[in-house]
Amino acid sequence: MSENTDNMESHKIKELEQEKIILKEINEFLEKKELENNKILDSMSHEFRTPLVIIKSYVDMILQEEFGKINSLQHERLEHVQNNINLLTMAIFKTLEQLNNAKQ
Amino acid sequence: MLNHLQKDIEDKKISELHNLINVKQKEINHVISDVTIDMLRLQDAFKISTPELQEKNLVSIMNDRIKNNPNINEFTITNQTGSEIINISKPTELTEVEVNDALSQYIQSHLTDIPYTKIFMDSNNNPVILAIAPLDTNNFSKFLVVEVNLKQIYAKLLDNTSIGKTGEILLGQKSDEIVVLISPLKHNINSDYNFNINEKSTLPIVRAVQGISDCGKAVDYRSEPVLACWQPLDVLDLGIVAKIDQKEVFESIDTTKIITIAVFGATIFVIIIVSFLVSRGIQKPVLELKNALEHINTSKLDTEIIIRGNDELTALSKSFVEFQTSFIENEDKKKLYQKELEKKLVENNNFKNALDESTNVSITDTEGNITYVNTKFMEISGYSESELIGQNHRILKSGHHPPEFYKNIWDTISRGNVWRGDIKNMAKNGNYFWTKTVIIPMFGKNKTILQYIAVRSDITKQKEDETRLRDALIKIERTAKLKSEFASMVTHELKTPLTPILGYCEMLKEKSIGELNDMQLECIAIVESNALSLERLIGDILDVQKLDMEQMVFNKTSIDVRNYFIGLMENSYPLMNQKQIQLIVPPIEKLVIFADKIRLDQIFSNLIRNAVDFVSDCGIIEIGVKSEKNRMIFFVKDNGIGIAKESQPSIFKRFYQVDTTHTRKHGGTGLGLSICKGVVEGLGGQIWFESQEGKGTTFFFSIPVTPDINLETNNV
Repeated sequence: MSENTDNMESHKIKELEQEKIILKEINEFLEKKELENNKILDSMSHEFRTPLVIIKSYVDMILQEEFGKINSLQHERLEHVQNNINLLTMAIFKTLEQLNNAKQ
Repeated sequence: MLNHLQKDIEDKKISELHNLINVKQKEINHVISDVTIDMLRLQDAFKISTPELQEKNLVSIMNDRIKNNPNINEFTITNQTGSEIINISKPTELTEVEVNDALSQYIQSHLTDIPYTKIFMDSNNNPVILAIAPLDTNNFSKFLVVEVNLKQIYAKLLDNTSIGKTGEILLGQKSDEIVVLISPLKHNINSDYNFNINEKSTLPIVRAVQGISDCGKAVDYRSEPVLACWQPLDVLDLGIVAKIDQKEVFESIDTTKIITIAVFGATIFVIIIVSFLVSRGIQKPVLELKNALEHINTSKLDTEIIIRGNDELTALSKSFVEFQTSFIENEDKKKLYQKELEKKLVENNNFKNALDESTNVSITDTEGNITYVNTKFMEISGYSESELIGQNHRILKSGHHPPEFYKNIWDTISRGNVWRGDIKNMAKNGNYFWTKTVIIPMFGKNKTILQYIAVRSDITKQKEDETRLRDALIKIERTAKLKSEFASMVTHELKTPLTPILGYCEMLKEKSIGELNDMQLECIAIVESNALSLERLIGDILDVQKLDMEQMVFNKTSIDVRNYFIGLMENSYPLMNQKQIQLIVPPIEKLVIFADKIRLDQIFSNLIRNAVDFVSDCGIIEIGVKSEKNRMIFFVKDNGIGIAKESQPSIFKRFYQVDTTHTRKHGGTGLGLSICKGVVEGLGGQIWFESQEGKGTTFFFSIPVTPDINLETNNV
């Protein structure tokens, strides 16, 4: 019995050491992943935001006839564009928000 | 006077015979006790050995005894039916003694001590007896049978030379209603004698067998008057008789009868002298022997016995000394044996102490009631010893594990197996603690479980870490799932609004619904280019997702490389023209590769777009292909600004952009190169670059050309 106990003990210690190493590795991996995720989310929201803002402001300027008059048909089409941009903006930020929540 | 003399001689002879019988008896006792000790020793060895070592230990003891005890012929271990399990015999022992009858009689008798069979002759005509005992006194499944050779003892026993010419020693054993003589007859060998056992029989041998011991005048089997001593043996079911013919004893008296009266006075004188000397001769050694025995009784075993002369008394003393020596030897053996046991006990204690120091140990009975706990166990559980002893182990239940968990433990250990696993327990203060636990059943006789020993080590911290880790992993999995959901959402929700935006821009640009001035047209162009870059970004994100989820599908077809490059040049010209870039394509060999054309386009378009972004107006871009042994290397070379050394390691990372303001102007997503890398690797190739700041950059990527791909290409 005594020999078995000895073996058991050393076996247990080895197991624990192994567990510790694995835990450390996973922890490092998670930290890295977290950092990366944050960066990607930031970049993504930036990448989307810029063109959306540009499109929206230029369409606005034409609609307010800052560069000259437009007819009602052109107005109507540009309003369609504006609506779709709003839809897209909402969809994108909803998605980004979800990704952000999931991360936390 | 004469009668008186006769009586004296008679008394002397009888006392001689009586002593002789006692010595013989002791010799037998000695042999038998030796064998008995050996058997007890084997029983003990069986008891204290673990099942695996039992056989080995027994065999080694048996071999030792066979070698050192001349009286033991053979050890046999049998099962109930008498079939041999182990048999160890002297090399000279060739014959097998049938043990079945003796064994079955023994089993029927339900005795636990060691009985000896009757003396019988083996096939070598040697007298033997069998000693039988169960190996395990609580379990009648294995038996130890020892064949004891009585040849030597028999020779000593029947040595009748010291009695006289007609002296004789008889051994008899009871067999049904008659006495069977197992010693050879000295007189009238060929006659047939019948020793019926009945109450009235006066034959000394019959009386001895009947359990009577006495000395005196008697008539022997030849109806000859004799002086005899008879008694039953202590240890074997035998009777022994020592006798001598009266004729011989009184012969001297008969011859002197005639002249007795004439020389009466002289004779008396002589007799007085003689009897004085004789009595002195007897008395002295007897006294010495008596003193020695008294010493031995007071446990001074090694008291020396002084031996003088060479008469029967001397023989008696000698025998006694022999007996004493072997008794002392036996005592020594016993002491040695005891010492070994004590050593074992100390070792076990040490191991227990070591265990107590390092782990939590508890012992429960077969019902799960705690019978022992060590200090560590009390520390971790928060209970005191008195609170735990007698309690069922359930006291520590945490409620974390389902009943089946405990049932499984119980099933395992009650079947005699060792259980290992992690258990969540509850301490007295309600805190939980996890233990890595090993429960070992301890066996008693018959392989029945006596108790369970549980050895635990505290793994609460590990378990907490594990839980945290598991939560983190679940979160990651959830994120991954969301990501893949995100991909399909991107396709539907994000791509849908983009289509009408691009359509309306096209419509406004074409002026089909009304005129627009240049300023307005430029605004529309900016809107359109940003919508396109959104579309590209969404497409890139989708590709990244696919690469991450390893869901990207490649539709490989055979591609004629020369034709492919012609198309590529045509598609690239509009982009080149914007900045007046010179596109160089060196002559292309006629080659065929097997790859996904759309993905190949994607790689080239990303690399060419990057090159265009980073060359100045009127710069030079060169695209081409080189054939190597197992792969084709494509390249896109520019003479642009190059990539700074510090940026080089990161350029394949997502959203990594060398110069944000610069790229923004050209509508890059920061995902292009990371996608290129993923796609090239997905096609089985590699991507790399060479760059010198201020001089330009060359991106290379390889597509493998494997033999079977060539084969498929030929088929297509």
